[in-house]
Amino acid sequence: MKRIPLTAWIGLAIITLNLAALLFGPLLAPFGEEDILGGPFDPATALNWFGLDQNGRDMVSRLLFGAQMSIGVSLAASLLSFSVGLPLGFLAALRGGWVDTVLSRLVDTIMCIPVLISALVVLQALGSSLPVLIVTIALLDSTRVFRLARILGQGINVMEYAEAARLRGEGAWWLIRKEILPNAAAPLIAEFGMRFCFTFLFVAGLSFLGLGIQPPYADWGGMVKDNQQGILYGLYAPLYPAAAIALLTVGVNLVVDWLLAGRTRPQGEGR
Amino acid sequence: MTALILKRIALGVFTLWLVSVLVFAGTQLLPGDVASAILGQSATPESLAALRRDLGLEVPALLRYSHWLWGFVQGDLGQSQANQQPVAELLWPRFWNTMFLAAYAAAIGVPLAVGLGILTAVRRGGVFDRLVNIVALGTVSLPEYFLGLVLILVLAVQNPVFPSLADVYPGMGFAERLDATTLPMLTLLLVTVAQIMRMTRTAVLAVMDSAYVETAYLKGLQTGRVVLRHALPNAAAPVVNVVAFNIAYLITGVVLVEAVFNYNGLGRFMVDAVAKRDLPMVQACAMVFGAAYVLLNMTADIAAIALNPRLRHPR
Amino acid sequence: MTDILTIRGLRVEAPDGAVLVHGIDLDLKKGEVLGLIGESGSGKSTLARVITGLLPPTAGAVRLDGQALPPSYTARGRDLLRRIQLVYQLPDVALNPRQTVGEAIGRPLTFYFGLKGREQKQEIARLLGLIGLAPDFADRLPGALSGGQKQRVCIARALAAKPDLMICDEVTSALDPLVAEEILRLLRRLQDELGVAYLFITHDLGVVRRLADRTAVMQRGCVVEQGPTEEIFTPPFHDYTGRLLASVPELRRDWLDQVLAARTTA
Repeated sequence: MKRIPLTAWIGLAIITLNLAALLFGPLLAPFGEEDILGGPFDPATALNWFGLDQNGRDMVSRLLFGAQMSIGVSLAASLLSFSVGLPLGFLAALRGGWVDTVLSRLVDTIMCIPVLISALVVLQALGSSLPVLIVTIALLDSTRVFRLARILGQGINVMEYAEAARLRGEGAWWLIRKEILPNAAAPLIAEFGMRFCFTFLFVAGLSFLGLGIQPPYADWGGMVKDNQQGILYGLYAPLYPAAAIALLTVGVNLVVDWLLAGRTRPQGEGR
Repeated sequence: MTALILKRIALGVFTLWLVSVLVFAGTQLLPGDVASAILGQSATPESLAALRRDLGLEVPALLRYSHWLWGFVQGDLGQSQANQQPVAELLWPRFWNTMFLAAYAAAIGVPLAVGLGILTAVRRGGVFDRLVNIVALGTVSLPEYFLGLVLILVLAVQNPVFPSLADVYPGMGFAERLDATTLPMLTLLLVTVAQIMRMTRTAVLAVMDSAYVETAYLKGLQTGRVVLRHALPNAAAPVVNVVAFNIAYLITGVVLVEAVFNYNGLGRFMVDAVAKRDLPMVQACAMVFGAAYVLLNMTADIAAIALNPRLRHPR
Repeated sequence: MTDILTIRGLRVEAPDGAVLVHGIDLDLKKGEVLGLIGESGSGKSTLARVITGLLPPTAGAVRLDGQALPPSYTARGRDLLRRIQLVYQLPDVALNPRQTVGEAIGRPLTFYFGLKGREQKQEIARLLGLIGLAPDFADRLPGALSGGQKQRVCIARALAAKPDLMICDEVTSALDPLVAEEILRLLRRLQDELGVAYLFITHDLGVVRRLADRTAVMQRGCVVEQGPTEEIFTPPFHDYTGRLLASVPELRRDWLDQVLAARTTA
């Protein structure tokens, strides 16, 4: 590994912290998710590092429980988005012709409307259950993944080594797996990071609006919404979940910046 | 060039139509019976049938779509289900509120961002450049509601400079309106300025490194003249693009900001409509937002064409 | 000797109507080297793409060993694709940067002959030896190889398929002269040992003179001359061939003496 800059280390540390929260949140929480320990917005003490939320529950514990929802849902949506957008994008790049045209037009059509508006329209019709949320966001997001995969695939497909493989008689599956994917890995991983960031912010935003993850599940966006009134009294309560959201976003951005640094040319270009 | 612009306009109109189809399809044709969703537990076969007739769900989809579109074009946006008022009456005042906020943010934000972008590009590597860059990176990574809440805390609660809730009402004085909307405007500003500034800086840097700018300096021209007359016109296209992109972002960013500040704009209106499953309202809002988005993108495209020197002076 | 490659009346038009190849006839005998020379734009590379099936012609037929070739490579069977191999001009982009040398050479072995495991490793080592590289090169990535070494690997990859015809499309044009020299020597040696037919495309007349048994000269999509190399390069020249030869800079130390001698005799 070449020298990893400090910013990337910070980013990786943040991501690790959040992964730990995702996997072990409920185990690490000092108190239960719904335990009432005092009055609304009680200040921080040695037991409750961030104080209590608007219902008198421990903020730290709620954050840890919320991590699973916030991060988990976003991760699921990002993974689904990639598993749809990536193969379709590569296929469009490989096959060209009418496959490419049909898929691209479809994607262009979906992208006509801003993502939030489309999501709101769908949520209005289908409700905000977890599966609906994950699938809707994933499908809307997969359009961006499709575009990137298509461009990357096209860039690699015109390389002579891809042509040599085609001339050999290799099928589409081989071409994607062995010729395109390994050479598109770095920008794709960076893109996954960015898509996750966007999805994460988006889910939290929807929850903040009351249209995302619904009770009884708690997530950070919803916590911001619930504690919002506290800010009018100068209390920091809503800032804790908001800061948690911001922190993870910054962390992933730092790592993505590091991955993308110095990689301005697609693999194979060196003429 | 005129031909290109006309093509863009035609494409824009086509896209508008496409948006209408998508919005209609999204709201009316998705699975999940609308009527039973609205009536919920209290649904009986008779009330379901009655509601369906009221909503016009008995009529085939294509017919419903044409009715809706025709009405929309004429200004009739349907009837709100929740309070039986014409949607248009409720929607347009709030639309203008949102436009006011967006315009306020854009009017200050765009010149500020472009100016900062140019300044940091010209003085690259300096302390000013690095400082601005770090702040920009920070604000771009932070969600709007976080920034909004922090602003409320700092500028409204701890130091009462601005009101913490953005209350606007018709007949308000202009200065009063500005005062009420400054905090939400600042929130929008922070995110968009950062993005536009970074892009402007990159574009100007790319141009400044080119041979013809170097020649301009060697000719003895002052920095100001070099930047304004030689560098900027060629950096204009990507900058216009990112400005347009950000103005389009404002369309969705404004929804979250309005929620933080309880601002009586179209964003908050749409969120309420979705929560209440008020179909006509959601349709109308989605159409308006979608149309604004398409029109802004179209304007950006046309501006980019108009600014492209190769197209302006064809040989 | 029978013909491995027969081209009759080949005509290729670009999508915009421009004619790239004007109905040419070409013959390549088994195991011989046919040099194809011409300036840029003469249609040499277009011809290579037609033969491999990357570019279906507008008219005309290409036959491999008497058997008609489907115009597009997608319509050709695996064994047919095996028998014609193409070596590219730029070795940097002809090799997948994420595949080791062993993987690049080994894939045709598995794909065409089903070789795996130890058998495949032995064959890879043999091929590496054939092109003059040590067996441990099999684990290296193209990034660790020089231009000449990469081109050797490309040649080995082509040979792995045991082709009847190898098309070398300007394979030495991107290499510096010393390295190019090595590659040419390698190709000559391989040709002597294996008897593969080469279609050697180049714009370098010196190379053709050394390597090719027969030569075809192309100009603007037509074959202006075709025959044994000695005949082509012995005067009297065809108009175009003469121009090509004359355009090659020559180092003549005694030019002044010649000029003076010509003056005194005049």
